[in-house]
Amino acid sequence: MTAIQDILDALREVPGIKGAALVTPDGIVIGSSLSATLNTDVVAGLASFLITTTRRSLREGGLGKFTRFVLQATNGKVMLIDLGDSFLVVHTDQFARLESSRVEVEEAAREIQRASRVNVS
Amino acid sequence: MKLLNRLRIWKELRHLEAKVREEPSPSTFVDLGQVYINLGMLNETLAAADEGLRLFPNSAELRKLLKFAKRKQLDGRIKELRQRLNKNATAKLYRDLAQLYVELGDFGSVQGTCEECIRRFPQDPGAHLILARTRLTNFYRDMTPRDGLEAVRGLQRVIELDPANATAHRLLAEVLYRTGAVRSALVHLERLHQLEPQDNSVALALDNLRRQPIPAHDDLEVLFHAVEAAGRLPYGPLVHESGRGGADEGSVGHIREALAHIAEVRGVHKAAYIRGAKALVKGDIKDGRDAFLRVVRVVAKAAQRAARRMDIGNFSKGVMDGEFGHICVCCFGDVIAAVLCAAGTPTDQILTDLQELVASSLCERD
Repeated sequence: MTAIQDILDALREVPGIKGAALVTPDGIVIGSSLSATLNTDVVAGLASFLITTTRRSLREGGLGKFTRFVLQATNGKVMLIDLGDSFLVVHTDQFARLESSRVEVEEAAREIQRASRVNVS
Repeated sequence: MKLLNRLRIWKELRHLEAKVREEPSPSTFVDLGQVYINLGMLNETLAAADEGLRLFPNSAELRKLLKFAKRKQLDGRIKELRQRLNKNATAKLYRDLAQLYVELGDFGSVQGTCEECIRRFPQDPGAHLILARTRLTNFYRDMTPRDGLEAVRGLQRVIELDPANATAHRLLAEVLYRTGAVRSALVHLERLHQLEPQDNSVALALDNLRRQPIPAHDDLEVLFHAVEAAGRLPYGPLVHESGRGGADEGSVGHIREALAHIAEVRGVHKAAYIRGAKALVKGDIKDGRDAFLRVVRVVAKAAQRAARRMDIGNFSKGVMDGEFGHICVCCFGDVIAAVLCAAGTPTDQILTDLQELVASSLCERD
C-alpha cells in the first residue's frame, strides 16, 4: 500500500498534475495524493458516479468498456484510467498538456498494477 | 412515529435512487421525484426531472414533474425576496420579484409589484420595461387594444427615462410595425440602428422598412382597435420579414454541412450534433434512436455534473478510449457535438472541429 502511495505522490510531482487518487468503481479510496482544495471522498464518489454511469450507458449501447476517459473543464482536467479492479484518477490544471505527461501517467498506472499484484499475492 | 416514517421514506429513497440507475424509465424518475418532493428536496427533484428528460425527452409525466418542482422553487424564492424587500427595498429586488411572477405567469402580481416599484423608484426604467413586456405578451396573445396601447406607453416611458435603451426601441419598433404604425416604427428602428450598428438584422429591417410606403400619420388608437376587429396583426415580425427568417434554416444547413465534413474524416464512424431533444446525425447512424446518441447524452450530462461538483468548472470536452475506439464529446449548455471514431484516429483535430461547430452554432443562435 505504501508503494501505491509513493507512486501517487511521485505522480503529483509531474508538472501540471495537481493530484492523483486510486479508487474502486464503487467509490472506495485505495490511496490518494490530492491537493487540499479537493476532498478525496468527494472525488472518489464523483469518479464512481462517472464510471458507473458511463459503463452502464456504454453497455446498454452495445459499445463495450472504456479504458480511459479524459474530461476537460474550464478550471481543470481529470483523467480516469481503468486498471482492472480500480481506477487511477489524475487531476491537472486547465493548462496542463496531457500529451506531455501521458508517459508518466501510463508508467504510474503500470507500476500501480504491479504493486497491486504484489500486495494481493 | 414521525421518525419511523421519515426513516421509511429515506429507505425508499435509497431504493429508488438505485432503481433509477439500474432500470431507468420515466416512472422510476417520477417516483424518485415524488419522494424528493415529500422530503422538501427541491433541487434534487429538479435534477431528477432534468436527468429523466435527458433520457426520455418526450415524457409528459417528467415535464409535469419539472414544472411542479420549478413552481415550488419559485414560490420559495418569491418568499425570500419578499422578506428582503420588507427589510431593505431596492428597485433591483422589485425587478427580480416581478421577473419571478412573469416566470409563474401571474400577471396580476407582476403588475402589482411593478406598480409598487414605480411608486417608490419613479426614475427606474426596469419595472416599466417588465410591465410593458408582459402587456405586450398579452396583446400578441389576445389582441386587446388596451394591453397594446398600455405597452406602447410603458415602452415610451422607458425611453424617456433611458433614451439609449435598445430593448425598448426594439420592442416598440416591432409592435408599431406589426400593427401598421410604420412611420413611428421607423423612428425607433433608426435609433436602434444608431445604438447597435453591428446588428445586421436591424440594418436589414431598416432597409426593408425604408422601401415601404410610409403613411403621413399614425393613429395608434385606430390601428390597435383595427387589430382587435380584424383578429390578426396586419404585418408579420419585422426582423423576420427583413431576411432574418432564413437564419434558422441557414444555421441548420451550416451545422449539417460542418457535421458532414467531420463525418468524412478518415476513421470517423458516427457524428452527431444534439441540442436539447433534437439531433442531427451523419455517418453510420440511421436516426435519432441510435444508441450512440443516448450514450453521448448520458456521458455529457454525467461529466457536466461531476466537473461542477469537483469544482473544476464546466465540462467543455472529453475523449473516451475503449473497445469501441474513441468517443469525442464537446459540449456547451444544452448543445453537444460528438463523434465515434476508430482506434488510432487523431482526436485532437476532431475535438477542435467539434468545438468550432458548437461555438458557431451558439453564435448564430445568439
